[in-house]
Amino acid sequence: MRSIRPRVTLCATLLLAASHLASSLEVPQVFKNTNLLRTIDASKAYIRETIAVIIENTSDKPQTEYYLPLSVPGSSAVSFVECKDKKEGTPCKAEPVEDSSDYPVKYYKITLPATLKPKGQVTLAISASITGALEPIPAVIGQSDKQFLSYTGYRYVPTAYLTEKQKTKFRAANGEIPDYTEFGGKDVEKSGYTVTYGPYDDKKAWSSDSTPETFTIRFEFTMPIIYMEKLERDIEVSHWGNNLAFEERYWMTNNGAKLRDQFSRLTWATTSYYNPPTAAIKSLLFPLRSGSKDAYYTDEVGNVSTSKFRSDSREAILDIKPRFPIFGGWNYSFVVGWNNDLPDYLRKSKGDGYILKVPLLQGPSQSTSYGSVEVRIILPEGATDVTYSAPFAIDKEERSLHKTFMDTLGRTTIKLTVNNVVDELKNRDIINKLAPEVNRILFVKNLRFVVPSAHRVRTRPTERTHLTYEPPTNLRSITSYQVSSEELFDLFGKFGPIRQIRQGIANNTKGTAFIVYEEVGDAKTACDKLNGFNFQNRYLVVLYHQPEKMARSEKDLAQRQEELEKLKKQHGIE
Amino acid sequence: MSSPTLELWNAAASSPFSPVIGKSLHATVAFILLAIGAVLTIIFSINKSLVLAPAIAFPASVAFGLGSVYALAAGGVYV
Repeated sequence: MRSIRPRVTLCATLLLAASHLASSLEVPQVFKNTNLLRTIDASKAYIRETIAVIIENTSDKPQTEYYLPLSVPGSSAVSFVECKDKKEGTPCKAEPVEDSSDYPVKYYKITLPATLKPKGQVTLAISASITGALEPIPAVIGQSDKQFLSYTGYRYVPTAYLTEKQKTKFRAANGEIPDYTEFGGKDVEKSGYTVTYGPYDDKKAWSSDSTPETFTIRFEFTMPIIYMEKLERDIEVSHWGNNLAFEERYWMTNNGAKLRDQFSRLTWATTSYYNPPTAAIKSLLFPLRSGSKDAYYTDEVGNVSTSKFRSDSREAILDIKPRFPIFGGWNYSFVVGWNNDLPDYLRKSKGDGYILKVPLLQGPSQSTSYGSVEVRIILPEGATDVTYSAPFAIDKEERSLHKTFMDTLGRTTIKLTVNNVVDELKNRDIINKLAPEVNRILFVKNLRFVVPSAHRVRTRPTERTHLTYEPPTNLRSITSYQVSSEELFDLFGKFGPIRQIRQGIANNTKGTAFIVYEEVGDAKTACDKLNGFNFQNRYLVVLYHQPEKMARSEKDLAQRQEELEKLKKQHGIE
Repeated sequence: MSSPTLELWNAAASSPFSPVIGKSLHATVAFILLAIGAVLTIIFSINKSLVLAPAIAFPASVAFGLGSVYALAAGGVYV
């Protein structure tokens, strides 16, 4: 049965090929995909699709352009696509092909980092973020009910070329996956967090005329789906005040399952003692650059006092709690802002002029997607010839003068608009270069901002790189002696995606476990909530894992023992 | 992974922006400038004459102007 089906699909595809080519994008068949692995990661509030593919040039000419269709059914949309040569690590350009006739897929043209000779092979790692692809089912839930999301995708990866071998891995937010399409149990495997489809051999290129098979997976999602309908971010340079001011105005919605009944404050207050996972937005954690100060948090009513701000030489964290928990379908708008010292962000260029380097997008540590982001960079009055180099594609750019009091002409302002953004792009810097020109009343030297073409300031910010300037994210807990790692996953996974759990088995490490979270914010929540939690009749002790501190205390112990020996000798005690 | 702008930024590492007056001095400078402004204004108001205007009134308004910029900065309004 299994061997017949692909052939049937193949025949149908061939019959329809002629009409298909006339109506939509014609991709020259110059490649084949030797091996393809697609990973669909649904552990965030949006989909992250990663495709690792070995491509081979089957034509007799060198090739540089590779096409890739991404499925965007319904209201979903591709936020961004990045690509690199997996072995060399060199990035390659991925740009959308403006052709809407191929719905529900969208083609991307990838320019290979180097020309591929006939018969040559290269491994590409393509990652894309897709928003709006997750649907809560049931769409309406009770206040303390679990939230489930559903994802529908194609069983065979849509490709523009023949694919010899392929496999699809779906990674859910946690191990609770009540429903998934099984296709009669063949080539489908569920283990822990993942459902794997494949391997499948020799699948034809995508054709919009055939109806492809789809799979649907429904999984538990214990976090809210944070969606910022709009974000207005102002970055204001004050050379008089030696200050860089940030202000962010958010219009937030929880896109998760809607609340069925009226909100019960009593239930909320009684259950919050146990801190169950909830699909409501309770708090947001903003990891800011170190050196940030004077943070504030207000909303339409005024100052909101339920916020914490911690700033030291290593980090600055703004932890805000909205006035009420934001359930599915609820809205909340708020403003946060903070200051930084200017010399960390503004430098005098070697020639003339100045260079400004600021993060284009920051935002909360919880996974977030944005409808539209408007960043205004307000430069000092008299700054001219400003150019910028943005870390990701900008949809719209406007230049104007922004007048505040004490200005005569108004300040040079660049407004950059980006639509459909995901938080993976945050903390990338935009660089503005300014050439010199005599500034009017204010600056004696003056500014002229020049900035070249687009580039990437950093490599793709995986969570790992993100963590490099975060506090230690490892959590150490002392657990009961007979705990399986599944149980630990269940408990600790409620606070966010876990990268790794390591349990001690030796005698001196028995009853301890190291849990590594993908996100530092999740580790913090877990530490706060689970310390002292009664788990299998034992109380958990949850601590941050701090290797330096542990090493120090070991050294102390050795020193103290030495002193003890000395004292013993002095007093003649054996 | 670098680009012309990033190289430019790195090349300028030794010359960060240096303000005329740092944040810690805003309040002091504002007070001194406003005080000078006030004193000169009082002196000028006692004996108003065109001859004295460039010598007293002009410095007074400059001191007031710059003083108010630093007073705002000292208060956290970074204009």
